[in-house]
Formats: sequence, structure tokens, C-alpha cells
Amino acid sequence: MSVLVDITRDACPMTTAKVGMALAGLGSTGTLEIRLTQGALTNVIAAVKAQGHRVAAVGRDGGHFVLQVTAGGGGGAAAPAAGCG
Amino acid sequence: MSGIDYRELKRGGVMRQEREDRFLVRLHLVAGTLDGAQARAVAEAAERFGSGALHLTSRQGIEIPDVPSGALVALKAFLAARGIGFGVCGPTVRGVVACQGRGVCPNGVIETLNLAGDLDRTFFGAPAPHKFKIGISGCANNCLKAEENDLGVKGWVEPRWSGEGCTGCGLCLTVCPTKAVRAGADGGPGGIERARCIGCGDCITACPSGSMVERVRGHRIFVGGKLGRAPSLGRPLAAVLTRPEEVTAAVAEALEFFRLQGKPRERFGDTLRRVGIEALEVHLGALQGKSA
Ligand code: SF4
Ligand code: SF4
Ligand code: SF4
Repeated sequence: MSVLVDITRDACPMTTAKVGMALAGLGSTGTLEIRLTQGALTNVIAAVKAQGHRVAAVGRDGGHFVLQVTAGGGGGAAAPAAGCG
Repeated sequence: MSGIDYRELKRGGVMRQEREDRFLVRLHLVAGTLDGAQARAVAEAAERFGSGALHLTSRQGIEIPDVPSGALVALKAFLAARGIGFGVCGPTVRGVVACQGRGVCPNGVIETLNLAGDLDRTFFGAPAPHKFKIGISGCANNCLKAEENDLGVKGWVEPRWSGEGCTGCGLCLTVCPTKAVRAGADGGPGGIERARCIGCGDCITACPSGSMVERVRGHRIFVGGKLGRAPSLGRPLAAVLTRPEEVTAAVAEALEFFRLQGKPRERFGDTLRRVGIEALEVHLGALQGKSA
């Protein structure tokens, strides 16, 4: 069963903190659905990749985005980190 | 007070204050960095030789106000024994400023503190037609404001679309802050406009499939920036230099160009506006060929 995390009402750094907790509970086979705003995309995807997971699909829901995350199979640390700027 | 050469003192970072026989002493810091012992020594120096006050400057420096002329020599010796020199004023290369960069800041694309040290050791106090400020930002977030400097350096990552595995999700287009990623026919990217790219790497970070890859990662140089009475922003040179040694070489060449082309009391940006930034690119030609 896919877990849903909605961070559309959160601001940095709560966005990545909530995603980080959800990713930690993902195990090696789980899936996770993250609902987020455009502004959080880069940081959240960076966090997903950094923990070795994969964004399997990207959906749009009204003005928001929905990322389907699959445990494992990610690119690891290849991506440059992104921050609040 | 008699017998003091004010111009000589000014070159050494000593500025006359409004109040009779009181001087403001600018210290030479690199990237705003001191160790604990030095910080304590600076505090002690302010108490012993000044009024006890310190002033933090806009360029990561420290100034000690209210030093009487008779205490300047002793203050200089006191600080020199702790590895801290006086700053410079006048037509010279100023202390190099930098953000924390890679190794401290998680966003850092380039290492900044060692680079600041190298540039400062090589160029601090060197003569130029006018003041010459160097600043280094570790990434496109640009906390150190590279474009404010006569010569700014910024950590830079540029993308290339490999096409491999691209799902057409369009996130690269969505996250690009400058719309440098052009839309293609199938929701994916149709190309990248280099002139619009600010080297943030966000499209690479956001791409879920790894189709957007790094084309180049390194140091982008901005020339001719200044604030003051007539502010203007530095403009980027074409190349992205991958190694710090290339940056040091480029700064040496840019300074040589400025000494050859600049008029006395003309800032680098004004020289470049007068002779054309292209002339500098030509002067740097051999270096520019190596990268990007
Ligand atoms: S410019 Fe980049 S590397 Fe430097 S402090 Fe800011 S975010 Fe960090
Ligand atoms: S690196 Fe940044 S500015 Fe350049 S194309 Fe990618 S997202 Fe746009
Ligand atoms: S983000 Fe990556 S997968 Fe999505 S359209 Fe851009 S290149 Fe293709």
C-alpha cells in the first residue's frame, strides 16, 4: 500500500523534514506518494535521490504535483544539493 | 601628530577619523575568517589601542576605530604577532571575500575558502588602476554576491539533456527559474538556452530519470561589477573553469589586462565598458580554450 505525504501546506525546512521521515519508514520495497507545491520540487527530489530512492512517476493535481516514489533504485548522491537560497 | 605620512598610512589600511588624532584601522581578513585566538587578540587590541569598539564591515572585515596616531605602530606589531595584518586602501587589490562554499554549505558547488586563500596570497595589495575587489560565491544562490565585485567567482553547474530514459514529465521545464529549458514536442525539453542559464543545476537535481546530466561544473567568472556611487553588475565571461588553478591564472590575466587598459582611478567595469568586454575575452583567449 502506498503511503501519502502531503506537504503542500508546509514551508522549508518542514517539507524536507516530513519527506525525510516518510522516506526513513519506506523500507526496501515500499512506495510513497508525495503531494507538494512547485517550489518544493527540487529540494524534495534531491532528498529522495540522496536516500537512494527513485521518483517513478510525476503527476499533476490542480496546482500541485504528486511524486510516486519507489524504494531503492535511485541514483544516490549524483544530484547537486539544492537549498533555500 | 607631526611627521605622519597620511598617504602611506592609508595604503596600510589606516584611515583618519573625523575626530582629531583618531584613526580607523582596517584589518586584513580572508573570507571573513579568524580562529578563536585571533578573535580574542582582535578584541584585546581594540581595548588596548582603541576605545574597545569593533566595527564589522560590509566585506567581511573588521575595523578598529579610535586608535591615536601614537599607538598605530604598537597595534600593528601586536596584531602581526598573531598573524593578522592591516588591510589596504587606495588603488589595490582588496582582501578576498567568500561564502563558506562546498565542504561547509550543502549547496556548495565549488570550494571557496581555499580558493579565497590562494587568490588573497597571490593578489592582496597588488597595484591596479583603481580599487579591485574579488568575491567568491559557492553556488548560484550567490550569498556572496559575485556580480558586486570587480571580479566575482561563482560555483556553476550547467546541464545537457541526454534524452536517455526521459519520460517527458516536464519537471526540468517547471523548476528552471529562468526558463532556459525550452519545451519540446512531447512534454520534455526541446533544448537549453545557455545565455539564460544561471548554472543552478536545479533541472539536473529535479530530473527523476537522470536524463538531464551535468555538462560542466566549475567556476564562472563575472567581471566589472561595483557598487558605490554608480552601481553596476558584473558580467559573465564565457568559460566555466573547472580547476581552481585556472581561476588564479584568469585573475592574473584580468589584472594584467586592467593595468594595461585601465586609466588611473577608473574601475574595471568602466574600463570594460570603454574597451569592450570582448577585448578581455581575447586577452584571456588561451585560458578560455581549455574549458567548457
Ligand atoms: S552561495 Fe551557495 S555555497 Fe555559498 S553559502 Fe550561499 S548557498 Fe552556500
Ligand atoms: S541549470 Fe538552472 S538555470 Fe540552467 S537550465 Fe538548469 S534549471 Fe535552468
Ligand atoms: S525532468 Fe528529466 S525526465 Fe522529466 S522531461 Fe525533463 S529530462 Fe525528461
